[in-house]
Amino acid sequence: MEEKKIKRVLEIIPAFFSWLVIITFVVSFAFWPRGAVILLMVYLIYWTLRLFYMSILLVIAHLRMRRKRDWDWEKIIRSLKSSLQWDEVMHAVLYPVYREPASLIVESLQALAGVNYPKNKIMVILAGEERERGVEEKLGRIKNKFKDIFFDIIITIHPKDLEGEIPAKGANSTYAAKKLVEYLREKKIALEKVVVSCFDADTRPHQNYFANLTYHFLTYPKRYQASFQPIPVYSNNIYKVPALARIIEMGSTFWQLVESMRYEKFVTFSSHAISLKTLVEVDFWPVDLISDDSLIFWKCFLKFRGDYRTLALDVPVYMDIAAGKNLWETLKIQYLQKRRWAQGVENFVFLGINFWKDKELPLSLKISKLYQLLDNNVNWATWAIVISIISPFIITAGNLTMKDSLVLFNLSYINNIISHALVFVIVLSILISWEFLPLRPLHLSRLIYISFILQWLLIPLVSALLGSLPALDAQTRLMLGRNVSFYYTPKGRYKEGKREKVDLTL
Amino acid sequence: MKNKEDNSFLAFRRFLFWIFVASFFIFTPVIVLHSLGYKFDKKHKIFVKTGAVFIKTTPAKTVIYWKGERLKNLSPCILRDILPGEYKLRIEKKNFYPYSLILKIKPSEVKTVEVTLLPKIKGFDKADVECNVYKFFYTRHFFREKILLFTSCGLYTLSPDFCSIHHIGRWSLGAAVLSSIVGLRENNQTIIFWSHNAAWRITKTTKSRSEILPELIYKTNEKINDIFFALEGRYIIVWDGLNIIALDSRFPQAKFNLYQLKSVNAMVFYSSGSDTLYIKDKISSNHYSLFETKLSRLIYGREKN
Repeated sequence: MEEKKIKRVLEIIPAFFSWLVIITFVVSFAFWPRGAVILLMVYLIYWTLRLFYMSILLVIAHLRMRRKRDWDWEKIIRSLKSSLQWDEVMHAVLYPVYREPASLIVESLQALAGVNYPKNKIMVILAGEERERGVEEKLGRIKNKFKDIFFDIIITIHPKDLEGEIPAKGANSTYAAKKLVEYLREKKIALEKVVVSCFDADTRPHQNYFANLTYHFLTYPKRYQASFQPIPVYSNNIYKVPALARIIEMGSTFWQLVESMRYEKFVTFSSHAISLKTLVEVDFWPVDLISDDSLIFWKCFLKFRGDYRTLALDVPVYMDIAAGKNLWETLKIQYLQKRRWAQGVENFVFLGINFWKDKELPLSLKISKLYQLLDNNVNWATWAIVISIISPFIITAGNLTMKDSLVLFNLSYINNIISHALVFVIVLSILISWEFLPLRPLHLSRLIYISFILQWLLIPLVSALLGSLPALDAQTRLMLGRNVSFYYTPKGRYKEGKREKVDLTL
Repeated sequence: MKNKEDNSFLAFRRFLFWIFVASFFIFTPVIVLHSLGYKFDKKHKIFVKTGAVFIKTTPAKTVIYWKGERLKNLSPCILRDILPGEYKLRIEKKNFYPYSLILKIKPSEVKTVEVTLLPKIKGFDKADVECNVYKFFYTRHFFREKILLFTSCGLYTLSPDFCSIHHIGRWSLGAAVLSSIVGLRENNQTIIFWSHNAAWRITKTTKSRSEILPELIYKTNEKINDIFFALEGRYIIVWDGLNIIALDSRFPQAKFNLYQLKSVNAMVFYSSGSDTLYIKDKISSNHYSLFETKLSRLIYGREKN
């Protein structure tokens, strides 16, 4: 009973603070406009400094990745001296799929087949859901196409409506991983030599992905107390989607790059890798929560008493930007996807409950981790709303009601200076995002690059609409106890409103 | 190797982090206090609250004189850290008439000055008065000639060549009163001005003053045609309709009729030099004649009576 109460309190806290930030500005402007202006000034200065700090980390992360991405990692691992040899390591690539078109999965496997790594060290698990009609046949056809390339391709079909599970990716992944364990035991392959990469159906690893992953797995002293996180780059279909979707996904890449520099706070996200031994020890991904990708990290963190970290890989993985047939559908899909990502706020509740139960972990560690999660989530839900909506509102309304006030006059002046200073951040974003652009399809004019530059002017609108608003939505639903089902982001390539046909031959 | 690299990067990040934290805690209070108008007065070693002025002109790029000193910046511009008080602002641009005004700056407030300069009309000089001018009178007192301006900001005296201007003071007279003023007389001590049915007096003083309080000395339902100083300013003679009335300068409420005119077409003139009152008045139905008398005889004769 007490646990229920604590859980309920923890569910309320993030939204409470997020709304407190927003309401404080609005209410203080109504009753004490000068105070609101001063508060806004402090907030703008704080965020400007924070953005500059993050920009520095972004540049360092980007340069590091650029420097190391194209090294001959296969050569490096061949010459490594380690307790475990590189060729003893097996890679299991897990693709939980649900309603993705076969063409998309084939493209992902084609990319997998093109990596600089012996394919006989890679096994593929295609994890389908029973609730998808025709999935067995679909996955069977795909397996036939690639069966002679990899060590093996295993198909698992996750039964629907299992007790204690919600229909989510984590449940499917866990079922598939358990089947993998059975398979490996049959084949007498030691679990501690297997690294599982849990990908999305559209994930295409960089050609050096496995070599780099093997390198980090072999060289990190506590390899079974670490997850391995590549930088997700959403560029597979970047030339085919609206600008709004491009910049919000690029923002996600930037965020991951920044977080990779803060390794003590780095948490797994989306496609990631983990030792199978560790996965078994922590009982796999959660089957009853939505944000399986980050929760697996926290499960491991708790299991190993805080002595667990996420290592940033030096190579990216390439994924699709979620898009629909048209702009409106794309906006809707993006909003729902970002809301699902923001449902990671449940990590705060998960961690809080477990910290409450665990009397041995140091209090300082508990506070710092809970604060980390709370800070991330509250900032995510508020920063763009305050800067893009509340700030212009206060300046405009203030010019009508307190036009002669020096502090308001100076706020407009400071806002102007900050906007000019942030041009530097936008230029930086353009330069770094340029690095991630794949080759332009020949049928597209070079003029498209103008849109890739001008798109960054949409930042104020996009960051509020597809950044903070979905996060606030997710937190508020959690606060109100409204359960939200797992949103399967539809993946597919569209051209002129029709799904594209892809050549399935190899 | 990995740990070494991690540790050195962690140290660098921590250093960077604390630099930003320190920047936040140092710069934020400074920026906020400065935005509120606070400025450290090095001389008195205290914080004072200042104001600001935002000057916007049409056309732009005008020369600005603040407290008589030319500023480096052209308009539009912002003047910050101004201590509360009154300041003279002058805006100039070639081929435009200059514009001057007195600004009152309050603490923590920004005064916005939006000025449209008047293009110069070739051959014409403009008086350097920015207030609304209702009336002007060209006066000659002994050998001194000057122009008295009745404006919305108060009374000004102007030299005939427009070179020098002096603001005597502000007043609270409204537009209706100022527009109705029809005459003015001046002597060493006093200025009297009148509309058709009221007359006011301002006593001259060598001290500068911010506000003038014109004294209402006469009111009538008839029509004031003229007013004269008489007997070295001891009396004020008012030609009001058909009456010639004398007011004691010291006690204007004490007034008495000197003469009753017979016609509204009468004319009255007083020569202070010879103390002679000239009156053109009707003597029969269509016949007018001119009369003269010594005013002192009229007044003192009256007093005797």
